[in-house]
Amino acid sequence: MTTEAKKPVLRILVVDDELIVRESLGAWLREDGHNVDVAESARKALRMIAQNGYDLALIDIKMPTMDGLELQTRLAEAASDLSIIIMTAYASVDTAVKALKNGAYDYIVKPFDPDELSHLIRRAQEHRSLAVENVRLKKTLEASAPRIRIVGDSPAMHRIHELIASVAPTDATVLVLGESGTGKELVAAAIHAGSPRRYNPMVIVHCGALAEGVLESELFGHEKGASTGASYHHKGKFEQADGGTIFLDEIGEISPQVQVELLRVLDEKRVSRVGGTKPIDVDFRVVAATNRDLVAMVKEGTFREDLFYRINVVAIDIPPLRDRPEDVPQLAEHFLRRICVSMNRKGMSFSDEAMEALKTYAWPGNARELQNAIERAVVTGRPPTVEKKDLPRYVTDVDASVGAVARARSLKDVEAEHIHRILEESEWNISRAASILEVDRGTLYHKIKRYGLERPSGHDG
Amino acid sequence: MTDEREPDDLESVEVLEVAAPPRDLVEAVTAALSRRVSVPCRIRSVPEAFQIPHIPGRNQADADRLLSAVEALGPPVGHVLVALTAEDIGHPIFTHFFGRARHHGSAAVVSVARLDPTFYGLPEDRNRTVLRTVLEIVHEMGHLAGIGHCDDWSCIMRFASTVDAIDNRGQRFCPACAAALPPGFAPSHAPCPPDPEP
Ligand SMILES: [Zn+2]
Ligand SMILES: [Zn+2]
Repeated sequence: MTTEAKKPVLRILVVDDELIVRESLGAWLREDGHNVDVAESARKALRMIAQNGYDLALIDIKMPTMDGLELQTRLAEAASDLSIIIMTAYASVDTAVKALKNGAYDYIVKPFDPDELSHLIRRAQEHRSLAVENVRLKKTLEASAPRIRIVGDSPAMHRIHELIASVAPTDATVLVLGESGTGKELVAAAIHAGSPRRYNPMVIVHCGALAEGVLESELFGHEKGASTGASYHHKGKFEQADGGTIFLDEIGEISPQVQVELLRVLDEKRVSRVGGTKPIDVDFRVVAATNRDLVAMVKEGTFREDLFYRINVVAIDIPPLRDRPEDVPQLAEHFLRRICVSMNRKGMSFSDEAMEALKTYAWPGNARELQNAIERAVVTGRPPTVEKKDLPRYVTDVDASVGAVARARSLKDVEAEHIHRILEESEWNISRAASILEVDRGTLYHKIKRYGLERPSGHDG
Repeated sequence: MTDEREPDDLESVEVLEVAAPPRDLVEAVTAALSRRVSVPCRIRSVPEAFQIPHIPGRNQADADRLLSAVEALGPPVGHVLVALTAEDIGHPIFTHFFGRARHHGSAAVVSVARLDPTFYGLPEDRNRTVLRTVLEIVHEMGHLAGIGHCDDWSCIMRFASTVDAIDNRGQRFCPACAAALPPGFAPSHAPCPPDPEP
C-alpha cells in the first residue's frame, strides 16, 4: 500500500517580494523536480492558492502591506491542508517561532543552507505522501466497507468473521495463517478497518520479496551519513505505520538476524534507524501472515521461538477452499460481480453447468485461482451468461466423481494434478506454466521431477 | 550552426585557475579529470584583468556572478571552461555551493574550499580532496551537457548537499544519464583507470 517508489513531485508556491529569492529559489526547487510558481506579494499568493491549490508554500516573513504571518493566518482558514514553511532572516527567528506555534510546518533561515533546504523539502514530501495515503485509505475504507467483509458462509468462515470482529478493536498482535491465495491480506485489511487505527495507514511489508540488507533499512529506516551510504534519512515501515497497522506478510521468510531486530522492536515499540543512535518511539499494531509451518520452523531452529510466541497471540487460520466447498458459489458470484464492474460488463451470471463445475473443482490455488478462472471466463465468454465452456479446461475436465475424490485426496496429489493441468494448458511451456503458478522455473522443474510428471508422447511439436 | 540545444561534442576541457588552490592540487585534479573524459584537459590561467565578484558582507565569491564572468571569456563551442577556485563560493540566498553550472552552458565553477576535509576540522587528505573535486567537476559537466539531477544512488548526477553525499553517491553516470552525454565523455561502460583512492 505504501510504496517506497519515487517521492512525490510537490506543487510549490514561493512568496517573496525579493526578485532574487523568487528566481533563485524557484530554479533550485525546479531542478529538484518540483512544479514551482512564484508570487511577489501576499495578496497575489492568496489569489493563486485559491485558484491552483499547492502542497507547499514557502513564505517570506517580511513583506510590505501584508506580511508572512498574516498570510499564514489567512491560509490556515482558507487552505488548511497546505504546508507552510516560513522564510526568515536571522534577526526575526523569534517571529518565525511564533509562526510555528501558529501552525506553520517549519521555518528556514536566509541564506538557505542547501542541505537544510533539501531536508525540509524531503520532509514535506514524506508528510505529503502520508497525508495522501491517509485520505486514500479513509476513502476506500468508508466507501467500501463491504469490500473488506470477507466472503464466505461456511461454518469455518463464520468463525473467522467472529474472530476478526472481536480482535479488530483491540491492539492484539494477530497471526494469519493459510495457503497462498486464501486471502490473508484481506483478513489483515479487515482487522485494520475494524480497528480505531483505521484512519492511519496500514503499511504492508512483503518480507519474502526483500533482500537481507534492504529489509533492515526498509523496516527500520536509515539515518543519513557515511555509515549508511545515505545522504538523507529514510523512514522505515514501522515509522510509516505510526498510529496504524503494519502487516508483515510472509514473515516466515525473514532471516535469523532480522528476526532478532524485529523481536526487539515488537517488545520495545521503538525503532533505531540503521546508522542512527537515538531510538524513535512508534505506535503500531502488528498483523503477520505466513503460509509456512512456523511451528515446524521453530523445531528446525530456522524461526525464533520467542518471536513466534510474540506474534502468535491471536491466530486466524484460513482453511483452504477445498475444505469449505460450500463457500465456492458465494465467492464465485462475488468475484463475477466485481469483475463485471471493473470490466464494465452488465450483470453476468453463471449457467448451472458452469456453477456445477466450479463447485466440483478442488481449487488448489484457493480464492485467487477461482478469481483468475472467473476473470478469464468473463474475458472469453459472451454476456449475459458464463457457460461451462468459458471456464479454463483444467477446471471443467474434472468430472463430478473425480472432483469429489480430488477433495478427499492429499495436498500433494492435488498439487501434482494441478501442476499437470497447468502444464497441459500451457502446452508444457515451462516459463508460461511457472508464471501462471506463480513459482519460479526452478521450483517448477523440481516439482515436475518430484511428482514424476511427463509430457505425453506425440504431443510435442 | 544553430543555437538548438543539442549536446555539442566535447572537444576539450580547460581548468581555469581563479584564485586557485595550490598548483600541485590543480595539476592532480586536471590529471585525474583527463582519465575520466576522452578529450584533452589543460590548465589555463585567468586573464590579468579578471575580477572575482564577491557577496557584500560575506567572505565568499558570488557563484552566479563568477560563473557569468567565466562564461564571458567565451570558450568556443565544444570547449568547456571549468573555473577552479580555492575561494568559498556562495549566493545571496544560499549559504554555499560546491559547484555551479547552467544547463547547456559553456562554463562551470567549482570551489575546493568545502571539498577539503580540513574545512570540517578533519586531517588533511589530499587524495580525497582531489577525488571530490574531480567528481564535482564531472557532475557540473553533466549539467553543461543538459543533464538534470538523477534519483539513482549510483549516479554521479544525484544531487549532493554535503561532502558525505558526494562521497556516497556513485562516481559514474548511470546508464540513463550516460545515454544523454555527448561524445567525448568517457562512456560509463568503458573500463576507467582507477582513481587515486585514499
Ligand atoms: Zn547538480
Ligand atoms: Zn543518472
